[in-house]
Amino acid sequence: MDILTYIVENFSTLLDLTIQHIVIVFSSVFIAILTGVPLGIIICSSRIASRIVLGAATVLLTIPSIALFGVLIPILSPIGHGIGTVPAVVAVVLYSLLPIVRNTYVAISGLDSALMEAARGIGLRPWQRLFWIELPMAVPMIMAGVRIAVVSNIGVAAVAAYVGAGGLGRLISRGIAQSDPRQLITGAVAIALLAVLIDLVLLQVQRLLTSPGLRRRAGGAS
Amino acid sequence: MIDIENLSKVFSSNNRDTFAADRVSMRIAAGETCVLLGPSGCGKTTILKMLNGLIPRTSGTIRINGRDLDDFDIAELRRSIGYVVQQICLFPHMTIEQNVSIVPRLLKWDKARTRRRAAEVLATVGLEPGHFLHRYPAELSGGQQQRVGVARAIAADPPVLIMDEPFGAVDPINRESIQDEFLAMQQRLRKTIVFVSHDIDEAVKMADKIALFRAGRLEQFAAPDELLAHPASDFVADFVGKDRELKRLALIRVGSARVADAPALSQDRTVEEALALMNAQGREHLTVLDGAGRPVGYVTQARLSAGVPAATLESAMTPATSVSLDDNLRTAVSNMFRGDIGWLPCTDGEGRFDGEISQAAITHRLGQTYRERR
Ligand SMILES: Nc1ncnc2c1ncn2[C@@H]1O[C@H](COP(=O)(O)OP(=O)(O)OP(=O)(O)O)[C@@H](O)[C@H]1O
Ligand SMILES: [Mg+2]
Repeated sequence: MDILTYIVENFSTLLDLTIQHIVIVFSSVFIAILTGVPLGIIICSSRIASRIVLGAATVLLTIPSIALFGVLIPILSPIGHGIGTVPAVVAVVLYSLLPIVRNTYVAISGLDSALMEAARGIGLRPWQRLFWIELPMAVPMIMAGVRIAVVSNIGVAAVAAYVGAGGLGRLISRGIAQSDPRQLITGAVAIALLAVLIDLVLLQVQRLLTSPGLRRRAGGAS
Repeated sequence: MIDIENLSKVFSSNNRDTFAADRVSMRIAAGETCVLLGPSGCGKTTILKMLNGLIPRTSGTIRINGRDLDDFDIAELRRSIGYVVQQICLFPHMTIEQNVSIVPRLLKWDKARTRRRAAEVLATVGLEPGHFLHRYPAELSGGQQQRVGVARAIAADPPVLIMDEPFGAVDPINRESIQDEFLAMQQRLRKTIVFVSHDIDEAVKMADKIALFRAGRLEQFAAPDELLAHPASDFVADFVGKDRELKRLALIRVGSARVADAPALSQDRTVEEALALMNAQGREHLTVLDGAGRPVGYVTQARLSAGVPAATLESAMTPATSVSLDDNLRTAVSNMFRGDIGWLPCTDGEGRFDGEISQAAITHRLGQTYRERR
């Protein structure tokens, strides 16, 4: 009952924090898509480059988020952003890169080579192959990577409250600091619900972006 | 015109060299259909893919309309060479219409024209446009997909077509009809076609010239009848089969073997007149015609002289089938076997009697090429 009262009394704050949370995650994942997809495409042409990039991204993912924020503070402080939203965004971008780059790479390098040869054989130039064939066929896989990035980074963004970023993580950090279970539980539940809801929404987006001709296969791939 | 000179391709893998093409030279004239024929692995696909630059040459030259392949903008050249892929390879995320429209789109045709053309080429390959345009490749059978593959290749009306076993996934009955449609189309459009097959019957049917390969080497490059009648090596003779003379039958028109001055009489004439005519010309039989000059039956000297209780030929004759001058000898022979008879009356375009064809005439016609060589 306590918790419900808390939620009702602090509804507008909760809403603000939720929006902040969503903004942090989405803007970071957006940046990660803009960098990760091209990176995933580029490394398809070189075995060595793909090993290095995918290896580096995997290593990044193994760094605990608290430790990563610790590293980011001295790096970002010289530009005046050691604390706040910027380190949160940077961390989420870095964590998002692996699923996005990896899925882009796997999807495009895994395209049927006879099909790609046919595309060349009927006169598509490299850019036309990329935008007409490769990317549309890779969409289900890339979107699956995006979903993984978004959902897992909803948790990372919560930890970012410790470096002064906004978002639902505030409730948890304050709940711990003030020994207030209402805030702690509200924050934790809100974050979990957010993750589930956003994943459902993104799944719909993935369906919309996937050609009906690929749907049967996409079911198996993602 | 496609000029291939000393073309070689060596694949090196695991320190072993495979000659997929070994100093191949041939010239395919404009408007001709050349079938690349040979057993699996002899290099047909490799040669085809060198024609549109998908496989780089080890040595030799390819010229298209006198211009070296290296001097073309390769993507532009490929758009003018319709390409049917052995593995079909439709783009799964595109509808059939989008698949078929892809080269017109590359060539920046306007939308209305591209639309019209997509429906037109689907109909050409025997697929109902309304039923197929908006479906996806995964919803089509293998044979239907293969037809779409052919439609995609001809959509932009390219002057040159290269096709890798384009009818391989179509069942025998439909293959026959799609081959016929394709031949009719080629009759109208006169494209330069390089067509891969490993089926001698298909090659004989489709080709102006057959190039027969064995392990990358061109064993013989000749017109189908020449290949069948005069195989250049034991390998060629084996490949075309022991029944090669029978295969030649399909290549020869009835018109070129028929006997023009065969006797015939209208069905209202008398038995006596028929006997007199046969005696005068030294024939054993004659064709009986209806009022419009169409063959309806035949009479033989043996039967008429045995005495038939009939005044006119109409009641004395035996009904007969005929064969058109435009049919091939294979059809003629088949009809003869079916009627258990050694000859057939021939008909012109209007169905009127125009000479006859006999087993002796066919044998003579088949043997012509051998007498010429002696
Ligand atoms: N990329 C490659 N690397 C190595 N060897 C190859 C390669 N492509 C083809 N070959 C070899 O070259 C030879 C000719 O192959 P090709 O595909 O041209 O045969 P084909 O006549 O088209 O056969 P099929 O009728 O089975 O399609 C074969 O021995 C094949 O193993
Ligand atoms: Mg082949």
